[in-house]
Amino acid sequence: MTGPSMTGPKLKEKALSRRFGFALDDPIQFIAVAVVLLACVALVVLPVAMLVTYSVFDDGGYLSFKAFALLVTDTGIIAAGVNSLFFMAYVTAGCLAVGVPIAWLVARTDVPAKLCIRGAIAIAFIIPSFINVIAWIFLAAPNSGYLNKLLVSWLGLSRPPFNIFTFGGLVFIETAHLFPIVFFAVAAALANIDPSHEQAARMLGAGRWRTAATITLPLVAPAIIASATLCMLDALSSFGAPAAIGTMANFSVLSTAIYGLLTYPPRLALAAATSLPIVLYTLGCLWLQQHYLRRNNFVTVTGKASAPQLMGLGAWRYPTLMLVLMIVGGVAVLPFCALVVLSLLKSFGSALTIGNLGPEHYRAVFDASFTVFPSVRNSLILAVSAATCCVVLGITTAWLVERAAMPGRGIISAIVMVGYGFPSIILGVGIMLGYIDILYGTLTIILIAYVARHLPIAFVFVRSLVKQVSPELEEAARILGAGRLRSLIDITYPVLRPAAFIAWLLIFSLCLREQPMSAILTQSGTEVMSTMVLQFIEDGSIEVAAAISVLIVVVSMASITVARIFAPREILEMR
Amino acid sequence: MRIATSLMNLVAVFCLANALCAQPASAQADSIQKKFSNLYQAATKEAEVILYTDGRQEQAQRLSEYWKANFPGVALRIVPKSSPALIAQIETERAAGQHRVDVSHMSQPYVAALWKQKAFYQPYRTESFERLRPDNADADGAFYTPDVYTLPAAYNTDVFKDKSQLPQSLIDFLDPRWKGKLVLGDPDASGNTLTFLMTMLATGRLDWSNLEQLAKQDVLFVRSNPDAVRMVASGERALAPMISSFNIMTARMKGQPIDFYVLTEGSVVVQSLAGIMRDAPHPSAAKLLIEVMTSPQAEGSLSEGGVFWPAHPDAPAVKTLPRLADLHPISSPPPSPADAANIQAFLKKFKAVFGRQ
Repeated sequence: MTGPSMTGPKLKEKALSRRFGFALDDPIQFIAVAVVLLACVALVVLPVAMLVTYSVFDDGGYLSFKAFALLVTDTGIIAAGVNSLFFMAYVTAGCLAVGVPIAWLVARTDVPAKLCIRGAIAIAFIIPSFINVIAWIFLAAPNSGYLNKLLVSWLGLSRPPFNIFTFGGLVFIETAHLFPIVFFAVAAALANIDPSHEQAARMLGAGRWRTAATITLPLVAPAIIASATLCMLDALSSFGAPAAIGTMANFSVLSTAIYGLLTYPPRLALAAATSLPIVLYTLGCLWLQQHYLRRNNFVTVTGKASAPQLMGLGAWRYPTLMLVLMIVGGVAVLPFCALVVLSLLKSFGSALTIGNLGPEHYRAVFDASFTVFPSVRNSLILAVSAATCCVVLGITTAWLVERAAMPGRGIISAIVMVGYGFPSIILGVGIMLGYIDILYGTLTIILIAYVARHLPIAFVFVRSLVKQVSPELEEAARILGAGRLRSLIDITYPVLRPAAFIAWLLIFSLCLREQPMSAILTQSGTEVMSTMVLQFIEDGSIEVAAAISVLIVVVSMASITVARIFAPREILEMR
Repeated sequence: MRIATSLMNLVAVFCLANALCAQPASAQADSIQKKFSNLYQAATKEAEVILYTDGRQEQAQRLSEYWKANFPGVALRIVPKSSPALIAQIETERAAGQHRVDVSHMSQPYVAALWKQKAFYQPYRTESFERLRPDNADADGAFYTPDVYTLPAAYNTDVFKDKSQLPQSLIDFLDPRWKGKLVLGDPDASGNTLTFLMTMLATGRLDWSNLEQLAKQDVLFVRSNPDAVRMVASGERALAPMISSFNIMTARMKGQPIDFYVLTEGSVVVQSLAGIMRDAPHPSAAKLLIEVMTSPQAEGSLSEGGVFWPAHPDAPAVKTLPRLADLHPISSPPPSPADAANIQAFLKKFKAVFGRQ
């Protein structure tokens, strides 16, 4: 007996019939529809429309499909498209293989040091991807990587054990960077399920592991699938690691091919045209997701929930902890330590001795002439604003898509998700084309870009929880006289709050390190931390770039810590 | 008493020396302001000027300080960008019919030629136009070269203590003993590598059969010159047939174990290019800025900040750099509108030869 199998078409119909009718005379629903439609148009439809327009008109302003003809005949772009598919598949499989078990261990077992594990996973997510690559090269380059050197010297190996300049290395870096999405989404969903299902299974004789595999995990399938979709789209649009490692490993993906089209010589129309198949990829991913979720009902929060029971690991408690710490340490602590060492190196390439370490590069960070501090201020303003906008819009959109029986809900979710699959640099170009007349050179245009890019995270996180919440709860409140707004605030929002909180933190961290769109959209006075990092990398000052990246991690972690201190207790416990 | 007199003499000598040293600078400041007083007056009414640059931060800082000291009342807004971001930004602005930049400054001659063809530049003849060498100013004044750098070979100084062991010519790099030891920027991503290889092919110093042999050397390709510097300095690969000089020198100044040397073929010279953009929002200030950037007074200081060689024949030499003539400079062919097609053909063949995706 599994969660999903308990339901069938009849139950599905019943659940659908419980949905609130679509009524524009309901002011709350009318405002929600207006806000979501406006957001869809402003954040995605307008920029994509600008790109489509640009790709189908030639320099003389005449309709032309030359860019698309080039697209389907260019073998390099076709190969990049195929590579992108494999890359997405491997990265997503890796993220699920690492993220789901660790989420289950943290949310549903008595494994110790949960705070430590969560913190380390957060660090893995926060380190900017383009600097994460440099940290990994520093550690695992075949000839010069310090980790390789250390292992060769300690274990007496004849050849270095790691080579990060390979397709496997690229998949590893991307997986290490993205699995926190799966971890946080699944952990939040696991903490929210009604434990009575598991208790029933146990009473019917199922063992702990069988219960976990056949009851618990299927119940959080929406979160698993949703976060897998995010990982797929993130891998599809990822640029930092594929650009650096892909060049060395002789492997190109769509995002790097598009970047190449913007440079020597610049072919913006072709770049825009190349981005459009990505819309098809995104829609394909969403179709698969919907196809699976539509067949099942995942309602597990019915208002009768009791406190979750943590599974005791018994003698395996500490061995399990060691295994988790090894994984998390390998993907998070190790690159962060490499980053810290890199930021302290006086002379890159020279021997790693105490004499070669010092705080000089941090002085450059605090040097007023390098305008690092204004960029920190701008980054914080943008990250807080974007995370808040995304969460508010994400809750509104998820509620509308799942609860209102309005036509075109599928289209709304597709539009929202398209922004995540687009390569950031092209989305940045689209937003620039859309808003250049009124917002160019302001923080607002960067905010629009950040929200367009990261709204899908809030939407996906919240939506997977909305799927778990029975509409009966809201209906009961309505029957007892509460208005729609009151039932939303008192009933729905408290259940969604953990997912909203985690989405806020993730988006906040992502915005602090967002680089490809920022590189296009920043102007004098609107620089952000990531563009400063890039500027130092371009200048060959990798150590200063590492110092700013350490600052990004510290600011992110400090913000998360402050948020945790002031967050309600049930959020901290994901319950 | 004698001691006091001596001390007074010493102070007097110090003050005199200080005054003598200070005088040329202030005199230069006076002269540049006076020299362009009409433009300065017109620029003051426009209040600001906007520069997009892919130059180094130190160079931008020096330009900012120089400008503030000489042209108060006209705010210089410098927007630093990487080359690809700068190119994408200007292309997007133009596509949207927006003209937000007054002067662009970058090191991609092929893109400059394309932009000239697309009429992105506003041709303007500077005051020193006639004094500039033909390869330092576009014939129509569309763009100018404030500074240049070279593309010499580079090596790890910890690995090669004896410079005589180094390959002396490009052909020497094809020796099997260097297999697995070379790093090179990917010409698909690195404009400097593209310039280097196309210049070497165009001038007959390399041919495709050489490149076919190079393809067997297990060359590690990276995206940019700073990446190549890191690979050499870390010892990941000990040799590079070319890396931009300023990247090597900056790393060397920081104590990294890397240095450059000149091959028997010589080293390719790359020009940075600055031009006034058509329909610039601050046309007079843009002219003033391009005059300053190409003036001998400013070029010396700005080039020193970027570790470049000033292009103007009257500009003072940068003390930390060797004489450019000693590096056997090879001029790259002047950029032309045909370059775009040539680049596409070159990259296609390069990918086929090296099996690159």
